[in-house]
Amino acid sequence: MIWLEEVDRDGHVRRRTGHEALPLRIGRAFDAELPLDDPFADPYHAELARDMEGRLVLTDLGSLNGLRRPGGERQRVLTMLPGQPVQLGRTLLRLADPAVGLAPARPDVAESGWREALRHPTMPLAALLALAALSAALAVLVDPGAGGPMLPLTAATVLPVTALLLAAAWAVAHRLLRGAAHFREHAGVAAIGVAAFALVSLIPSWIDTALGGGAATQWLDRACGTVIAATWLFGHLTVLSRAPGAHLWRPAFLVAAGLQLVVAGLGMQAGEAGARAAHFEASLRPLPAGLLRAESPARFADGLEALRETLDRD
Amino acid sequence: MLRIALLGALVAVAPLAAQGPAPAPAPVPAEPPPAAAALFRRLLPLLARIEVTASGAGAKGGVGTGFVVSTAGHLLTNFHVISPVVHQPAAFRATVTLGGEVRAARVIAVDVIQDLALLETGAPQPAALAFAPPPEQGTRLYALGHPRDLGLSIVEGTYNGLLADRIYPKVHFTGALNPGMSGGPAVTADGRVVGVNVATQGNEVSFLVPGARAAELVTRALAAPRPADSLAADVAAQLRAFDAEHFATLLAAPVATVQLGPFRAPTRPAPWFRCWGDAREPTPQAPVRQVQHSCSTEDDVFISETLQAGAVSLSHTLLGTDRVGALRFSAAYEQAFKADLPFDGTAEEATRFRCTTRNVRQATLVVRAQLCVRRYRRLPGLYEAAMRTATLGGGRTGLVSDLVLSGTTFPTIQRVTQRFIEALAAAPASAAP
Repeated sequence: MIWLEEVDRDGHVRRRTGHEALPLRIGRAFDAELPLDDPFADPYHAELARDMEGRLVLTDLGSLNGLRRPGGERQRVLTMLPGQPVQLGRTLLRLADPAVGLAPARPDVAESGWREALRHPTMPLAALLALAALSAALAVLVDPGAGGPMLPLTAATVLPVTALLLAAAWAVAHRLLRGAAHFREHAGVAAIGVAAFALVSLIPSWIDTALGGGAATQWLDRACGTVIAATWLFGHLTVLSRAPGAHLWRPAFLVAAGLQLVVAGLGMQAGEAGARAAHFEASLRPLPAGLLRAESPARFADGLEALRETLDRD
Repeated sequence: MLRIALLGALVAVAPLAAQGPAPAPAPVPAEPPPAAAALFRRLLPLLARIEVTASGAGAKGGVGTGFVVSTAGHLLTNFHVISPVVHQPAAFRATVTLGGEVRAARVIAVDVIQDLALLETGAPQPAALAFAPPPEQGTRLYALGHPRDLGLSIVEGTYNGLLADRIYPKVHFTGALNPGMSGGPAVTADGRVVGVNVATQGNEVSFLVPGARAAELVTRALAAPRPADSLAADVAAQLRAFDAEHFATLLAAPVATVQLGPFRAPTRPAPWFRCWGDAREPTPQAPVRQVQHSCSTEDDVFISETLQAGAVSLSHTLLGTDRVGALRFSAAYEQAFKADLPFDGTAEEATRFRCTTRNVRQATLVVRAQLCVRRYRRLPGLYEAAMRTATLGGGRTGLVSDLVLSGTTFPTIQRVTQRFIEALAAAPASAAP
């Protein structure tokens, strides 16, 4: 049995045919044993047969455009070797090797929906790459580059590495609990979480500039952090809960995530206290004056009474 | 300006090395004029070496000079010589060496603004130094003290009148004062006190507290003695009164402003401020142009080694770029806003800073204002404040401004910060007066 494959210019197989009898004629004619749909091929373009040594040989039957290896000179006779295409007209033919395994089937995104598409092995990698590109772009866009080219590079590596480490931690936990790591899914959730963090962490500084500071913006900052942490946790738990009996482990993870939030909150407060004590710092985003909530100088001076009361208690 | 109390630590290392060029040695005549020799002999018994030591530590602390101002044995010296005794009476004590005898001394009155302190020794003296009215400029004076604790010395110099444009009066003395001479008298040839040695700028540019102020303190303190435990409160009260007077003068005048790019900003509020400017061109690494303008008071009131009062400084940094967009400029702008608070001092002396941040809208501008304040723990009613403002909504141009007030009262902080913000303005250069 001889298998012939018609391939396109990207090497993808268009048609595969099996043949028992030799010789066989290849061409545009209806009665050719391998009919071609190629306007550049003759009705009887070439003939495939075995030579005296048993090799498969393709012979030109006096065609207009002839035979050649892709990109090569026209030849009257060509030996067919497995995997090496020959060109008749514009058709590429090659001898298939059944011993070579077939590539796995690709999911049809249009048919199966985005959930299955997200679970494809390449998705976490794609997400991480997209995240790297995003953070690099943000770093270049937002940072004046005071530190030279290192800065975007650092920003572009820190976030993906963070996502990978988080995913690895969750996968290890998953494996300990369920026997399977599900790293791909956890990496996907972590990547989305880190990307959300990169975006959302920028938002409070704009709102802070607009509102002029005070307790509201501090709470907003905290709320953003909480929302991200909650989304993150929810994602990982969803992955984990696919396995039966996951509900037993949810409380443990909730406690862990709660601790994570408390630690983050404490860190934020420690940062605030430090900022209060040690240096000037404020967000100064480029907003038009009309969007800024502001008070009069006299009101500002009056508002300092609260500061005085706090200081007198210190 | 270098105050000239001698601290123990300064003796071991090369003194003054870190504080600018060493003063040139005074030209010493081959043979001292007989007047100086006689004067020295006459004043010797009336001059004291004052030493401040930490209780329990036998080692020498700060050293200064004092002189007898009453036959009851009162000594006058600089506040900065004995300030640890006032701030921490339990931890420090003062001893005086007078006429070969060493005895404990008690601080009974201070004038923190003029940097003066009156000490009581309880040892009656046969005579006391008297004060002279201000002499004519060019009059020869003799300053006495213990330069670098090397023994009592006499230094010849010239009276050069009162310094112009100062927060408080100060005599310009041309003569070499050195650490350790603080609190010693500067006398006329007939031995009457014209001023009290207080500070030097090196190269024979030295300063004296006017004799009249010293005489006032002596008269006031001897007429109405103050309870011993009220000294710290007196210091705070004097500083508060000084603050009220100082800022009343400052705020009475209209605010002078300077044009910086498309802004106008307050500058040199009074003649006793010195101003200077600087500019930095953009580089590929820092693509933002910077123009700086700063003003600060030339002198301040000594409170302790780390705290001052009356010091005011203001500065502006104009930032602008046409090389990067508004978003990247805002990142550089935020970076330029970040800075450490410009103060030192210990946790016993002052609380931690508390800050507040607000957007403030005035006639032509919206500014982001961050004010950080701390309270002096040992001096009731006195604070230290630093405010930083940044103009908002300026696209690729912005002005970051600083205002620093030390040893001041809270109402002053409120009034001055309000006035400062009101004085900032958006004003295209062409429209400027």
